[in-house]
Amino acid sequence: MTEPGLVAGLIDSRAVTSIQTELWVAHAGEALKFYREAFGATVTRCDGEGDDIVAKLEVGDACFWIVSGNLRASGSSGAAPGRTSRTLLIVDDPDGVATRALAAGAAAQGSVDKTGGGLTLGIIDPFGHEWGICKPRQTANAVCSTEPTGTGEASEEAANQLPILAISNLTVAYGSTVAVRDLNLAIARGEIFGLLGPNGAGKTSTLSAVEGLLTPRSGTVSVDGLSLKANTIAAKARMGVQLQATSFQVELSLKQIVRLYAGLYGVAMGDREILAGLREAGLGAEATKPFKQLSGGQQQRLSLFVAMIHEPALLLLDEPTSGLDPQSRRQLWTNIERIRENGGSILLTTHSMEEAQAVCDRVAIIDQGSLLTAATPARLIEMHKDDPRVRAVAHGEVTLEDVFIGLTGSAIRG
Amino acid sequence: MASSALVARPSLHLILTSLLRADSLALLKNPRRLLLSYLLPLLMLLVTGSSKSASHLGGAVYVIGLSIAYGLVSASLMGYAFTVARDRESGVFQRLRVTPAPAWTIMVSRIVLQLVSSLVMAIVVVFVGIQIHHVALAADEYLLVLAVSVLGGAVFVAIGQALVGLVKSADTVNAAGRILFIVLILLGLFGRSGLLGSLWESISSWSPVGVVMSLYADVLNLATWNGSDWLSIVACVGYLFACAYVGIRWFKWEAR
Repeated sequence: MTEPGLVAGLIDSRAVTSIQTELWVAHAGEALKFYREAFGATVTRCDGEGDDIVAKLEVGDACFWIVSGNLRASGSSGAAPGRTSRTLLIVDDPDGVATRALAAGAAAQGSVDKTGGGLTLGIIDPFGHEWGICKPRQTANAVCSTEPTGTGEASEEAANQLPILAISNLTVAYGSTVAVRDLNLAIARGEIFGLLGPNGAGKTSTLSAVEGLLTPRSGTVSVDGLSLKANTIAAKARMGVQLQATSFQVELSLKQIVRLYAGLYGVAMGDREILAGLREAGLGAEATKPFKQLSGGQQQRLSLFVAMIHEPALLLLDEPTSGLDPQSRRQLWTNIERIRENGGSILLTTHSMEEAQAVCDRVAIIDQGSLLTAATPARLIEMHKDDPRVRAVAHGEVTLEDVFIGLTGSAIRG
Repeated sequence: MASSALVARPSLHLILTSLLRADSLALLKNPRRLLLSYLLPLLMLLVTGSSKSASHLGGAVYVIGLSIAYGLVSASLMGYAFTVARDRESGVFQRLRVTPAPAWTIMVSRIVLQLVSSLVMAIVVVFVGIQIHHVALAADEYLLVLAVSVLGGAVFVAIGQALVGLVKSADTVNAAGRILFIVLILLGLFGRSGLLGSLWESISSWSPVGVVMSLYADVLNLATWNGSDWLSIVACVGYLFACAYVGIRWFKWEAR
């Protein structure tokens, strides 16, 4: 970095702060203009691979790439021979959030803001240099402190604090019927989170809003720091989904289905990899059979395999065990355990309290579209064991099912 | 699982290629759709093989046009529309929509494939038709047949799209498609003959099947091309836009 004085001076004078505040609502084009005018940056617009790399910025000897959407871990160094450069990758910046963090990072050798919750965006430097994290727009005035953050390990730790899924004030309605009401949830990286609720409680509607299948009436959903609304494709690329009712084109064979979905997620898979994957999922013998010839359990296994084909950061499973025989169910939970071991995050809905208690790090109970409670299964039992509604349904030691029935009522739902 | 930094965003090209390949395979493995596309037009050509029977229907080129038009109608109303409705009902579209593929790519892939399929069917029918009826075609007439096939294919795909836009249930789409198909066939066969009177003859002439049939007949015999053919093109474009608007405006991705 050659000109920290210039950048820091601008920030110290607060002139940039006001411009940067504007950048929260600005788009990439305006951000580039800002860099050009404020820092005298040479801006080179790039087509890059696909539309990933938006522009290359050079301020003195420093070189930045602005990357939209897809974050690639390699091939992004813009250092010219003999020049001191660093490369920052900025993930999806439709609101100019990342550009502000970049400016702060340029001034202070990297910055981090950990105040408050709801961190939504990370700037990752794959070469172990400085980095920064910004909070959502509503707290724009306070974000991006200019204190140095120190080492790359600390950066990684802080990046891991970003929730993999942040649902904020989500309301979903079908006409005049409100299915989900002002729901707030955050799921941490590596967490297996169970969403419990009676029929019609709003579980599938919540999942559908996260999956992008329906447009919420209000509220926001962020996946891995990316707004689902503003960065739909990039956010969906980070999710793997197993829907409640699984269906693929009935004419296609399993191999053809896997090839289709690998293509849709941008995963290069040859015949050999596809067959190996299907074999691992216990579907090797069915690889050339059409989907319609599979049993229910085999269909579920294929669905889970397809959901995980791109090794997503977040896996969404809507009642994954419904209709499965005990063997298939056991295999599913084994798969989920393996995902947990590999650091993956899962949001699942289930009607099985035993399974939720056994497999989930945290569970939330929702009813009539509203979140009733959320905690670890043990903590939930602890929190509600003296609730008269729970005591009334408990026989002996209070279980998660007692808490569930106590809070949601004994009436049978449709 | 991969860290988010390693997650690739697929290019639009890769998405469209993947969808087109899968939809092509699904089409080729669906005997019902192939049968609907080829059976009726080829059967019609064979039945009207003698010049006497062809002359009852307006001559050889008219029969070829009629055959292609009916092939397009059956492929679109009972093939395309039913498959879209079935896949919607079974949740195939929902499964595709949770991937990074933009929703429009899912439908564009299907429509493009149906148009290509219509084009191939038209080429086959014209080829068989000129063999059976001994019609000689110039190079420009072949090209015009292809152009009319694209336009006619688009009109009937748009009608099929309007059908799945207005009707949610796959069974109802199937039934409505069959009824519409029969109505259009009868209108085309008997309306144009004048047996039902001049009003029906006029309605038949300006029905979707009527205008497409007229275009085929006149591009297969360019000497008969006249001002009403331009009006037929305008009518085709009108049907295309009107039905596409209905089919897109009211289309729902799920049957519920």
